[in-house]
Amino acid sequence: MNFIYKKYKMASKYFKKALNKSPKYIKKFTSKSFDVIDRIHEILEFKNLNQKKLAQLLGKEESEISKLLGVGHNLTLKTIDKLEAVLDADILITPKKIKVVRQNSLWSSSIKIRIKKIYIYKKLQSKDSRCKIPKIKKSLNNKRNKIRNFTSKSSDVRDRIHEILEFKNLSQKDLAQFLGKEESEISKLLGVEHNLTLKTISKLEAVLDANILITPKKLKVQRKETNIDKELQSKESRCKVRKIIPLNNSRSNRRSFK
Amino acid sequence: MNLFVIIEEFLEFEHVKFYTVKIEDEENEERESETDEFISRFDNEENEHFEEFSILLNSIENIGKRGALPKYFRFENDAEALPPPRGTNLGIIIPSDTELRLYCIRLNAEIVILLNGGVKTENKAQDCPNVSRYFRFANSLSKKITQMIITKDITIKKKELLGELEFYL
Repeated sequence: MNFIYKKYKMASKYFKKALNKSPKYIKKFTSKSFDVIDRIHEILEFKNLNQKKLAQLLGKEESEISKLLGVGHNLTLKTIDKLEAVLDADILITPKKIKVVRQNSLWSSSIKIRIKKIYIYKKLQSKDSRCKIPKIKKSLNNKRNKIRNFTSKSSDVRDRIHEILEFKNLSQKDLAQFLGKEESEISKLLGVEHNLTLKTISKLEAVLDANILITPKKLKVQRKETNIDKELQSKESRCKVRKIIPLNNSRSNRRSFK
Repeated sequence: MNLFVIIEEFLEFEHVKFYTVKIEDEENEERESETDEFISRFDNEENEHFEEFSILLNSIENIGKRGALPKYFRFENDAEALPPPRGTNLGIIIPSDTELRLYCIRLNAEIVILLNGGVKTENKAQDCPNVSRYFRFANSLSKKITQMIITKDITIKKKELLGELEFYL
C-alpha cells in the first residue's frame, strides 16, 4: 500500500461544463429549494420543534415530511401555506413589500399600517395623550394579523407577477411566448385557483428576470436599512421617553417637558 | 477481486471540498473518476432525466456554498447502522420526487466524497440492476474509510483528507 501525504489536483473534467448547461430556471429553483429548507429548519430550531412534531402538526407520516423537506422537492403554494399556518411564520414572501418600503408607496397593506402607526404617533404626540398608546398598539397588531390571514400567498404571487409585467411593459401574450405556451394556459396559470409550484414560479422568475418569492431572511436585512423603520424606531423611542413624564406629577417636570 | 481505489479531489467551494474516487484495474488504467463517469452518462439534453440531473449538479454547487449539512442529504439505512466515530455517513444526493441517485460519503460539514449513481428502478437499491453495484461499492467504501479514520490511516484536517488515499478495497 502506498502512503501519500500530498494533495491531489482537481480531477473533475465535466462538472463545470455540465453545470453551465443547466437551464436558468433550474438554478433558480434549486437555490429556492435550498432557501426553503434552510428557512423551515431555522423556524423548527427557533420553535424547538423537529420533523416528527411537524409531521404530527400536519397530520402526516414522518417519511412524507422528510420527502417534503428534501432537496429539489417541487412544493406547491398550498403546501407552503399549510406549513406557514402550522409553524406560524413566513417561509416565502413576495418582495413587493421591500420595493414598496423603498418607494414609500401606499400599496402594501403592511406599509399602510406602518404609515398609519407613524401618523397615529404624531397625532398622539400633538394631543399629548400618551397613555392610549399601548391600546392602539394592540389594535394595530390585531389588524395586522387579520390582514395577514386574509392575504393568501397565491394572490400575493399573482399581484407580484402582474406588477412585474406592468413594470416591464409586457402582456400575458408576451409571457406566453417567452414560456412557449398558449395564452389561455398563462391566464389559467395566473388564475385564482391555480396551485402554482416552486418550479413554475422559478420558470416565471427566469423568464421575467425578477424575484417573485423570496425567503424573509433577506427581507429582514433589507428592512433594517429602510428609512421608515428608522423613523418608526425614533418615534417609538421618543414616545417611551415621554411616557414616563406624565407619571410624575411634579410641576417642575411638566414645565421642562413643555 | 480486490479493487484499487484512489481518492482524489473533485471540486472545491467556499465551505466544502468534494472528493471523488477512481477505480484502477489492470484492463483499463486510464479510467475516469466515478463521478465524472456519472456526469458523462447523464450530460445530454435529450436524456429524459436531464432536468433532475441539472437539479442534482446545482444541488452540489449549493451544498458547496452553504456547507454539507445533514439536512441536505438523505441517508441510507445501512449507513445509519455503521459505527459513528467521526460521523462517517453514506448519503445520497437526490433531487426529491425522482429516482435519480448519486451516492456519496459525507465525512463532515466540509468534506464529501462523491461516488457514482443512476436511476433507481426498484424499491430497494440492492435489488435494482441500475444502482445496486454503486450502492454496494458505496457501502463497502464507507465502511473501509470509517475503519481507516479509526486507525488514523486517513486523517481530516479542516477541508483536507490526508494520509493513505490509495488502497485496495
